[in-house]
Amino acid sequence: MIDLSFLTEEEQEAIMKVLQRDAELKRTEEERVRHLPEKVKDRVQLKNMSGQWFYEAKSRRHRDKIHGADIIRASMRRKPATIAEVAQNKTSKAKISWVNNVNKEVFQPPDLHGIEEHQEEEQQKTSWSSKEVTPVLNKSEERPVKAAVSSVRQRRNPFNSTVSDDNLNNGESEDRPVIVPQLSKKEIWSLSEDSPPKSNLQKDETEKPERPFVELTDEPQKELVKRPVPKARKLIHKAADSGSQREDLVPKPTKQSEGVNGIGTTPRGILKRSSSSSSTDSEVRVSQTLDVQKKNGFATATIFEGEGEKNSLTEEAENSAQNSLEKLKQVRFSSISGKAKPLQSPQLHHGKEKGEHETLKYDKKKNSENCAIQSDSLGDKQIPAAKPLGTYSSALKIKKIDGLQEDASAASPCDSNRSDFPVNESFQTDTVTPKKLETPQKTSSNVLSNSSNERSADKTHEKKSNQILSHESESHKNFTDGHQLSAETEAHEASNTKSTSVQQGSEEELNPVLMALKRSADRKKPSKSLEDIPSATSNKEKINKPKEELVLSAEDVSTVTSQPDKPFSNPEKLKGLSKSVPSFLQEESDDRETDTTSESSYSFGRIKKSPSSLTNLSSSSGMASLSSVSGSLMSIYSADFGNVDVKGNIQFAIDYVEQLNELHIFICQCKDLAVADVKRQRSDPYVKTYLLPEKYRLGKRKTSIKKKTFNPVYNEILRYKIEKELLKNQSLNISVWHNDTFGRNSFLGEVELDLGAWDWNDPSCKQINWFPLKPRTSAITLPLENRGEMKLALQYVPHPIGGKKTLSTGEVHIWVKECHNLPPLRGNRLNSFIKCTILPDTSRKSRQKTRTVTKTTNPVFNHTMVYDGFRPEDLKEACIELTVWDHNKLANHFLGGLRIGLGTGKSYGTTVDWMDSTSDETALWEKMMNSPNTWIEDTLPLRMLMVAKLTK
Amino acid sequence: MSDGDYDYLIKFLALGDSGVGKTSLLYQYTDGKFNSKFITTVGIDFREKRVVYRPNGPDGVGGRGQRIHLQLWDTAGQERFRSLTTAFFRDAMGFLLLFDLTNEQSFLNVRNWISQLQMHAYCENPDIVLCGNKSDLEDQRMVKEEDAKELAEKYGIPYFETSAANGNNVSKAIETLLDLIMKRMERCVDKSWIPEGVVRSNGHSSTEQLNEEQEKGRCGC
Repeated sequence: MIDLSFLTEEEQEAIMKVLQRDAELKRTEEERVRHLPEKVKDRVQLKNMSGQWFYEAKSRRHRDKIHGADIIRASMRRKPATIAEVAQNKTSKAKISWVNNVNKEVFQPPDLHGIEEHQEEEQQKTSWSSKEVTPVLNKSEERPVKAAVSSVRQRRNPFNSTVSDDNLNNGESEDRPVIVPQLSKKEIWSLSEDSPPKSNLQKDETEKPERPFVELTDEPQKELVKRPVPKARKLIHKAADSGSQREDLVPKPTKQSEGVNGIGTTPRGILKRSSSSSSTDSEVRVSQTLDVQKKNGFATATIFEGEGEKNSLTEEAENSAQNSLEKLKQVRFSSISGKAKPLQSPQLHHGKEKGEHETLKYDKKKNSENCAIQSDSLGDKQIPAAKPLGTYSSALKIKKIDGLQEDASAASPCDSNRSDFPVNESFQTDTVTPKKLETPQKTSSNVLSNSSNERSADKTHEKKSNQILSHESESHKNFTDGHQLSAETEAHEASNTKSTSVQQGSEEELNPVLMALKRSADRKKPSKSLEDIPSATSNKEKINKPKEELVLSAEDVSTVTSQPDKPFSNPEKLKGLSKSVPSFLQEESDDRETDTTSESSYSFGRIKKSPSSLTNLSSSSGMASLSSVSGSLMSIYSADFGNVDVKGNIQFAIDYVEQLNELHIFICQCKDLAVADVKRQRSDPYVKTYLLPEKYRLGKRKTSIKKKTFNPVYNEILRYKIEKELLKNQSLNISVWHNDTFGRNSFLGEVELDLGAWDWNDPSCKQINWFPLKPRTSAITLPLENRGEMKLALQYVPHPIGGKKTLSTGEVHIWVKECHNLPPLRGNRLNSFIKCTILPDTSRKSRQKTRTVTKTTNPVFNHTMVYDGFRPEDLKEACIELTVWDHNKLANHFLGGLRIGLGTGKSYGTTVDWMDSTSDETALWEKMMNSPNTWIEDTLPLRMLMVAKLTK
Repeated sequence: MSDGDYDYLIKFLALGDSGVGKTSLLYQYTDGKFNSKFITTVGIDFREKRVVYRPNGPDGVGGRGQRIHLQLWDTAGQERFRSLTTAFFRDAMGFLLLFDLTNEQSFLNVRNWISQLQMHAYCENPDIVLCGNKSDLEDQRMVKEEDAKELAEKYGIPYFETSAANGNNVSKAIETLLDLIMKRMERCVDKSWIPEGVVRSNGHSSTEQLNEEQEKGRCGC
């Protein structure tokens, strides 16, 4: 559904007229299509003339077959659901469900697809039988497709030239019953014509979206969510009408309404609730989520719908709520940057997989951990203007500025840090909103408009909601932070020195992680980058800088959000703040725009981008960006080979179609796949192909995702446009993945074919064959072949000379000498540089890189990087990530990397996936630890890494 | 207007900033008229036109004419209708993306529109024809032809400088789009399993080079 309440009545009328005309045209078209088979015997021709080619293509993208016109029509008629209506829906549920079933093919609100699928299964036979009702209306053409779905029928090979049209049809279609949309429309129309006051059509449309709420009556909170929605919308548009046109963007007004809703009405109530949520009772926390939802109004609610569905989690509403809560938390943390952060991200990350218990534990843990800090920061809160103890207190400041003293005071003593986050966030949003109008924040409004576009129109793209969420939250943050920033910057300038001392005071009580973070945050300039000078630290420079640095970085951040590429005037800074974020996000990460793949991690990454830089900026809080570490670990390829035991088989055929110069891979089906999601005993598999090595950058191809099956049937053709000659040096990698909406996709097995050895003329090679799935052996996709090696030396300097006071922290010096035999991605024109991050800190500040050495596969860098703030015990928890990149105008390509640490798999007690050093790497690190003040040199082979995504 | 007596229903959609002349262009195309008065489109509208499409065979001989019923969706360029208009993107088979040659911003926004399309259209790389409209207002021109061509080239889409006022290039643009669609349709209905002869008989039409460019992008269907 789209929110169209911004339309005036006249406008609605005008649009309805257009839609009417469209409906007439459609009717004519249906009529024509119905008679087509009589005239046209050729199936291809028929497919063309009926427009089926288009609907098939469309359904591959938009899983529903709804016409935009119908969405609009439905949206316009939609009235805010009153409580009475909801209740009515509940009672009439039984009746409706049959209707819904019949119409399922017709009106599958995309948002609910997952849910419906689930319901289908619950209803089992009944639904199947009722499903059968639908096809009756369809022409015989659809039959075979259906059959292919329900009974896994052995397929004929399309690559054999004797293939009939029938096969072609099947090969092209998805497993979901393909129905000529026109025909389906017919049903709708007849329904709507027959039906009394409110047409069935409308009922269907209006009710379906509510069905999850209605049907899952055991989750009353869902309804709670539902009700406020229309209200919020109403408000929005009142506000919107009076405002400028821009205000019509949905999310923006939503926020406005928050202003009205949230603060105006019940600020205290909200506070109370959320503070009570500091208990570990999950029930309470669910309600808290709802609270947040309410406050966020329509926007969040929609997203939740989408999410719940996406995960098909609605069945376990608890779970889904939990999940969404987690999500919220992530979002919040990253923007608010409480003191408790360090452990948060990794834990959340894992929590995601392990479920709610983990979160609970985590919360407890965190609470206790933060007691000390809490009290500290509370102390500061009382003198809010003076001491910006991080964003947390500055958030409070904003509140005060906005004259919400009561809230601020209410927030203080007994709230635990954790429960403060959501509250703060919402308050920030709330309070900032009015301001927003005055301050021209280009970025935020841009982001907003983006997200609004995406969201409103794309609610139907169920898959996107994740991204949307990120957008949404990003936009939230963008302006929240913006304001925070403005408030903060001043404060920083005013009380730079003070904050430092405060920090140091509290440092003693903190746990090691926090300390480590603090230290890393304390490093005003985290590290020095010296070229061609092996050692020598320049502490003086460092000491001189801090103040300026802080202020500057504040500026930086404000520009980061708006225009990340804006060059800084200070060249010295440029070095420190290198911003060459590799674009593997676009290139290689497994997110599809249209599918969910590893989107969640993707979006987390995105969410964090700007906020976490802000976090770092407010470094007086001592909050480094540990939080953003493993949550946003991104793989270049799909990553997480996880713990799934590979089993099963895949059936496919390949062929080279000379006329089209295309390699076709006909993916038939898989059998007996491994269980990816053990908890829910399900896999949502899809098949992905790569041509390797990725020389020609043809990228991946994917099939659709089949939900909840270990025996997915695809019958899809994946194609590569590539000269046959070139295939000789390629191998075809076909892998099966479980699509996890929230977490990472897990690897279910793969098959690799050497196309060089393939005899395209041998008909037996074109046959459909079963292949056993194999576990991925080692280096992901790219063969383990030589990635080159790096010569480097490390040194730990426990007591750097000239350091301030007698700190017990030392420095790690990394002398990157040279690389040998880098893989020539583009002939020998390789322009390489090396990037260095010390994990767990992925913040921009922790990132350093060498210059780019052009046109050689054996670059000599002789570049020394120095990181300070290491106590001996920190060395055990940290890990140097050195990655080699090919620098390209458009994108940097990852060549290989090293991770030098102890390889324990853990950092500060948290399991992390980047602690994966090889024995060689570990040996080097150990040597370094054991012989301080000595350069330890080694030449290590570069390997494939899941590169920790750097936060800006 | 539509009696079902046609072979193909082809749906196009015109999009672009407000005031670039989407409505006018379509009006010119369907009715051959022009109204210089600016009447903003309320949300969405469409016009229809019946044409005959005659693909050229490989030997240059015209094939059998196909009767096409064109449904030309006209969208409001105004931001406030955006959610509404984008909902229609998914139902269009091809897109006329317009900008105003006398308005640079409208040209700069072409990128955004394209990404909107990539997001909302029925596939990731739908057929698009870029039209720089108001070419009759040469003296007010703000967008260089080369720039527009370059942009179009970047996206691998055809570019025309059109004038809804004098009708220049209007039908050419739309017919090019139609050609692209018909080609795509043929490609989509996969002929790789069909013996060669059959493919041939469907014929190829004249704008081969355009098609080449399109082929570079993966066929989304």
